[in-house]
Amino acid sequence: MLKVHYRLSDGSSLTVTAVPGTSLMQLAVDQGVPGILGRCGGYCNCGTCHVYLDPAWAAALPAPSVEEDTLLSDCAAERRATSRLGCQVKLTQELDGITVTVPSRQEP
Amino acid sequence: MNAHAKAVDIPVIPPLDPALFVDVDLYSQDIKADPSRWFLEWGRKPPFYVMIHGRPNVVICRHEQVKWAFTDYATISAVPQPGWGADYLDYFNGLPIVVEANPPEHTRLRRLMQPAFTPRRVALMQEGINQAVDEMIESMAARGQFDMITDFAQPLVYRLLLGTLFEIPPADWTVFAQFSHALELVATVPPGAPKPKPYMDAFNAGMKYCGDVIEQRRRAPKDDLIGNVIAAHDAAGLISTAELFTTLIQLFSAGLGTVAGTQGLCILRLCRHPDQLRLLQEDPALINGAIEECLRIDSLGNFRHRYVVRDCVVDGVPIYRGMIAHMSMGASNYDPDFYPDPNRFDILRNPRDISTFGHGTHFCVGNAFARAVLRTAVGRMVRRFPRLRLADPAARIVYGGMPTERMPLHIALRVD
Repeated sequence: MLKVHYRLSDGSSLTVTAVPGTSLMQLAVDQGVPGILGRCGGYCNCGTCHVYLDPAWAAALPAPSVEEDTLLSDCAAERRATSRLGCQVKLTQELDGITVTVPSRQEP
Repeated sequence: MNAHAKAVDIPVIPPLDPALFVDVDLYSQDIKADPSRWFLEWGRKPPFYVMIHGRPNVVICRHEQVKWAFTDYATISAVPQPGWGADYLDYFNGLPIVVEANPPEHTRLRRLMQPAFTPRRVALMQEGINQAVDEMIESMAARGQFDMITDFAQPLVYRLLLGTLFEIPPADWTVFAQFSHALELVATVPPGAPKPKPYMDAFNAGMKYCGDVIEQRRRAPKDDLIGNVIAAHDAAGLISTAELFTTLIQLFSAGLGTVAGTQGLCILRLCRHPDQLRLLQEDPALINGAIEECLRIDSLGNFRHRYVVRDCVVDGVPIYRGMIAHMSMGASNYDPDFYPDPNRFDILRNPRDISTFGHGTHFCVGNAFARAVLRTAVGRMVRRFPRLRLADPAARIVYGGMPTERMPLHIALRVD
């Protein structure tokens, strides 16, 4: 089991326990974390699971695929250097304690 | 290149348990008019068999099972298998089309159309959507009574999709309207029979139009959706001409009827539940959740078919290679494990993971556009017309569209 911290757009935080193998998006949807929609179900199609990683964690992950990188530039909230699509971040034990910030919007 | 199977392999389906058959016409007017009569049961039911054109088909309805069926393309494939019993649903005359491809061919086709519908691109369209909706609403106000579908929703969507998004001149819109309507005629084709002449006429007219557009844009490239798709083809040979044509036809036809019809379903549902309508009128900020609940309880698409290419067992029910599988997005939205008391229309429910736009790699590419239009059109209409109501609440609404859809053809409204 591992812990994931979601920093919400209203300033509050939610800590959720995860089983390795799920994604940042699926965990948020399953646990009702506000502000992450994941409308397409995790297929890098919709851009509604955009998150900002804390910089310390951003470097720990492999670079985004071409599909993810393209979609990150077209999400509703501004793209930052630490932007990722939550559905493309698979949670492993090494990511225990990861902190992500949920953008203020996922839709137009 | 997407390859269709040759019509030489029509698997024989083993004997099936008669107790698992349901005697129902999936495409009847009754099921279009009030699918809850079936979906309340089917949303809790394991897969079952139905006979269509003499072959056993399987219907999958539970939410998790529908999600699985749409995503496991190694078992339930999107690639058409002629002769397996779904020829009456072959709208695109065998051309390679994104909805009928599996990865990796699908990925290549999808990449070409997806950029047009991302959240950022749809946000750029919002001002145009607002303006079009406001103008249409004011013209309805001047009438006092109007048809939600033919006076408002259809003209609005033609204008937004063909004019704003694809930048086609209004004089050319009829080419795509006719093909979109002609898709329904395919259902009248007996197995093995040729497509009806009106369908072929509309199809050929669309082919010619797109061919002419391609040539014009190759001579004078433009930085718009069509131009970007063509440029991708010429630059890297990423797409064949036939695939390009079908990409454009799919984009043009997929959104025209669906977004218009769904506006009608939303307004109809709200008018039939005046307490929910009033709630929305008193608090316009509820619109996003209200639309999600409308989309859940009234999915325009009742069913979507695919091809079972590998034997499996789902919830104790054997499903065999050679069967056509019909996934019910509509029934899936009535699964009580996900949506308690599913027949209760509650704009505060905020349902998640609805099946209306599908699941998986084929998840509706235009869903953000559809949601933006619905929120704007329905939200502004109910706010602008405090006395919005059905002209005759007892009037029977007739539904059309493709067999698997429930498109309200006319909805008479009064706002005076």
